[in-house]
This record gives sequence, C-alpha cells and structure tokens, in this order.
Amino acid sequence: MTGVADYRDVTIFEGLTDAEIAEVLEGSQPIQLEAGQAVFKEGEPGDGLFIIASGKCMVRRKAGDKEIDLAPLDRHAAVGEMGVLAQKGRMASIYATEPTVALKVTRERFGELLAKGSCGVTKVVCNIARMLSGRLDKLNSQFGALTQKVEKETKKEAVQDLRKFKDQLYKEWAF
Amino acid sequence: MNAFEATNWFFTKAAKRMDLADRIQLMLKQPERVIEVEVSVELDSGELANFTGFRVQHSPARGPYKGGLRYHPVMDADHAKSLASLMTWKTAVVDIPYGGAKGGIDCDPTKMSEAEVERVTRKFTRQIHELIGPYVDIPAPDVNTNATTMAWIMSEYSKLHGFSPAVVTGKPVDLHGSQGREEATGRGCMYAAEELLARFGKKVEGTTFAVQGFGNVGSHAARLIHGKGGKVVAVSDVKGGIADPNGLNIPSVIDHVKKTRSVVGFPGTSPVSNEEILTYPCDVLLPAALDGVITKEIASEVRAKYIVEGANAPTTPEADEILDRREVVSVPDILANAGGVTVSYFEWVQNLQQFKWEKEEVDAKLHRVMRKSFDTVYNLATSKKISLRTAAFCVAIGRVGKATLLMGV
Repeated sequence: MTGVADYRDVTIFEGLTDAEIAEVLEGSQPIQLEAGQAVFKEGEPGDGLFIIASGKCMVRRKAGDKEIDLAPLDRHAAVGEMGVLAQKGRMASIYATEPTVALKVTRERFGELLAKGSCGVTKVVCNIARMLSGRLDKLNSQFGALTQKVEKETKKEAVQDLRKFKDQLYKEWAF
Repeated sequence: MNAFEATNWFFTKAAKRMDLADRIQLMLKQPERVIEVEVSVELDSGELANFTGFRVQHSPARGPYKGGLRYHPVMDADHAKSLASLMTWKTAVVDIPYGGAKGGIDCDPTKMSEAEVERVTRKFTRQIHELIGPYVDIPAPDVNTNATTMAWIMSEYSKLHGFSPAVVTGKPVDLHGSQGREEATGRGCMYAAEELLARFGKKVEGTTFAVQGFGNVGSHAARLIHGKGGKVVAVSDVKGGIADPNGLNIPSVIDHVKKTRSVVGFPGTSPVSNEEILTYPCDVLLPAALDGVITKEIASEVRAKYIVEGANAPTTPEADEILDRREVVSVPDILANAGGVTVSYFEWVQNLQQFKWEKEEVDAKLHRVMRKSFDTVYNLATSKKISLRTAAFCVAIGRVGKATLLMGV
C-alpha cells in the first residue's frame, strides 16, 4: 500500500513498523464523506475503527434532546477504536465537517490478525489500552473537580439560606 | 382537620407569606427532642400496669421548654409534636422566655384511684427528672392533670434536686402557685377582646358576646366581660346552651352552674345548641370549648363581626379563609388564649425570686403583656395587609428565628 509511512503519526500506530502498519491497513475500505455526513452515529453497534485519511470531522454526543460538539478530529486521527474490541453501541457520533476520506478497519479483519498473532495488531491493542487509560485518568480528574464545584455551590446555597433568613427577619419582617 | 393539623397549616401559611425556604421551615418545625419512657406501676389490685410516657421538647432557642402534661389513653406522637410547636409560637407571640413542649402518659385517670395516679406521676417524674427542671423544661396541667398532679411532680423532683417549686407551674396557691392563675386564660381573652374592639372605636361595655363553653376559660371570660359592662347574650356547655338578647346575669349563671352542673335551665332564657351559639347574633363570638368547631359551613353563617379564640384551634383553615373574605376579624388562639401561659410564667418568676406577688400585680402585668402583644401583632397585620392570625405567626417565627440564629444553628 502506498503512503504507509504517512500513517506513522496515527496514535494507535505508535511503535509499529511500516510493515506492521501496512498489514493492519491491508483491505481497509476508504469511505468518502461529504461535509455533514456521519462516519458513524451514537448508539449504532460498533463494527470497526476509522482513520481519517484526509479532511476533518467533529465528535458529537447527545445531551438531552440536543447534540453537542465535543472535539474536532484532524487528519490521521483514529476513531471508534472500541468498535474493534467490542460490539457495544457507539458512544458518540462522528460527522465530517468538510469532504473527508476515512479508512475503515473492520472488526473481522482485526480479529483475524489477532488470531494469527499479528504483532502489529497486538501493539495497536496496547496503544488503545494506553489511550483509554489516559482518558479515564482525565475523566477522574474532571469528575473530582466537578464534585468539588458542586460541594462548593451546595455550601454557598446553605449559607445563603441562613443569610437570607436573617435578612428576612431583620429587614422585611422587622417589627 | 384537627388542632395539630390546623397549627401546621397556619404556620406554613405564614412561613410562605414570609417566603421562607423549605429547609428553614423544617428547621423551625422539627422538635429538638422526643423522649419516650416505659412507666410500669403496681395498681391497687396488685396487678402491674405498663404505661408509656413521653415528652416532646420543641425549641430551646428562647428559653426553657414549657408545656402541658396530659393523661389520656390515646396519645398521638404527631399530635404532641404539633402541640409542642404551638407552645413555641404562643410563648413567642407574648414574648415570654420559653420554648414549647408537650407530653403525657397514656393512662386513664378516670378509671384509676388517686393513689394509682400519684404512683404513675411520681414514677414518671423519677424517669424524666434529668430532662426537666426550672431552667430546662417546666410542665404544667393539661387534660386530666391538675394542680395536685403538679404538686406530686414538684414533690418527687425536689427529693432528687432540692427544693424546686419552679419545676412546674399550675401548682396549688397553697404550694407556691400564683394568685390569678385560675382565671388567667379567661382574663387574657377579655383583654384581647378589649384591645380588638378599641381598634374599631368600640369598648367591651355595651358590646354583645356569645361564649361557647363554660369551663375554666369560658366562665371566667364571661364573668370578666360582664364585669366590664359587656352584654353576654348566649353561653353554652357540654349539655347545651342558653340565650337572652338583653344580656345574661353571668354571676347568677355561675351560681346556677355550681348547683346544677350546667348552664341549661337557667330561668328566663331560651335554649340554644352548641352549634347554634356559633351563629347567634352578637358582636363578638368567643369559642372556648373544642377545636374545629367553626367549619366552613358555620363560617358562612357566623353573624358576629369579631371572633376571640379562647379555645385552641376552634377555626378550621377553610373556615378561616371564608371569615377573612367576609371581613370577620379573628384574634387567633395563639394570642387570645395566651393569658394562661403568661401567668404560668409569672408563677415561675415568683418561684425563682421566692417572692409572692399580689393578685392586682399579676393582673396588671398580664394586662400589659396582652396589650403589648396585641399591638405588635395588629401593627404588623396592618402594615403587611395580612390577617391577625398570619401576623401572629409571623411575629412568633420572627422571634424564634432571631433567637435561633443568634444562639447559632
């Protein structure tokens, strides 16, 4: 496959040789997307991972009855990694924000390579695990910060309860 | 709706009018402590009786707890909690330094000998003596308890803590009770009526009154109103009522009751039922018997222009709204019948000072308290355009709230 060296900067290919990258990408299906088209949608069963060969995308997730933008994806970003490890529903939607080409590595292909004992795919799985661990760490920090914020807000409210009560008794309802 | 539900309803109405947060309302409503004890005593027959005694102590913010002790086979915890809070509001309205309490024992003294009731009382006192006291919690008489019961409590408590007349009020006058206590609630009602009428350019003299109930509160109120030149045109008791549009001779009615145990049959009067008396034509209606007697149906038919609540919660919340709409002005129970607890306070003060006041001094001080309390409530009602009842609760919440904040939550 030509241009394999181009894909050395894809995070899930870190530590892979060019030959290993080529093996993973062999048989991958390039998908052409217009701006606004979905690579995949939230809730759909995961059936493979995607690498943005060219173009740009946006990660979106449902919040109530709206969809909110979470993060932009540039060229050579990898998405839907969980789709090669488990068939769970997609956790977010990916939409092309300009004409985009995405390479799809199917779960079946991934499974074949794992069964064969492919080094490249094993390294990809390690990279995915490392990435998920990083995301979990970040999530824990954000959760901790959010909990502190909520506690602070709750305390502020409670103090305001008594402060407001004092004002009511000494100002509005003084006699 | 009964007395305790009505108390909560009126408290919530005032709290909402003041725009108090739910958490603040809960803080004010919840009792500080609920005590339950198992009171076992040997009856005269040798049989062991197991009673339950309890005491709800509602709010300590403004002073020691104060409230009655009732002996009744049916005791309801929610009922007691609400009546305890009622005492907090009442003592706050008249600005005496107490919080509210209520308690009792689920025995039936009408089916017990005096010795048995004494044993139950002394046992209960021994069980709660660490949780009551002159500066802690001061019980008083209530349903089926009386001055003698208070004497027993004082006696048992004093054995454990030394001479302590101030541990209870409502004691016999011969055992450190106060002059003027017996007629205090009725007298307070009379003062409340006097203050209300004055705001409308009227006096007790020449005004007509109908009094439902001729027990302690009703009979003294009627007597004192009559003494001031008021025309009591109808009175009633459990057996029925009597009416005379020209005004009853109340001292003679009292003599008649002493002989016959009822107002019924007093000569020269026409009969009137306990329900009819509430809608009898008069200027001032004084319910001094049971709770919940002025229902929404009765409220539409009340012909009095003013109501002075001698009983606890005689007016239901729906009736209260109707009376408000009809512009019938009510002096609420927590103000009108606070004369009793006010003179209880005087008894406690005399006991602490170990100095007795003459009746004239007690009456004069009661008059001053009732006048000042009425003034505060009336002025707030006028400035905020709310009823006297809502204003009274707002004054109570204001005083209890400030004390709670200053003492520290």
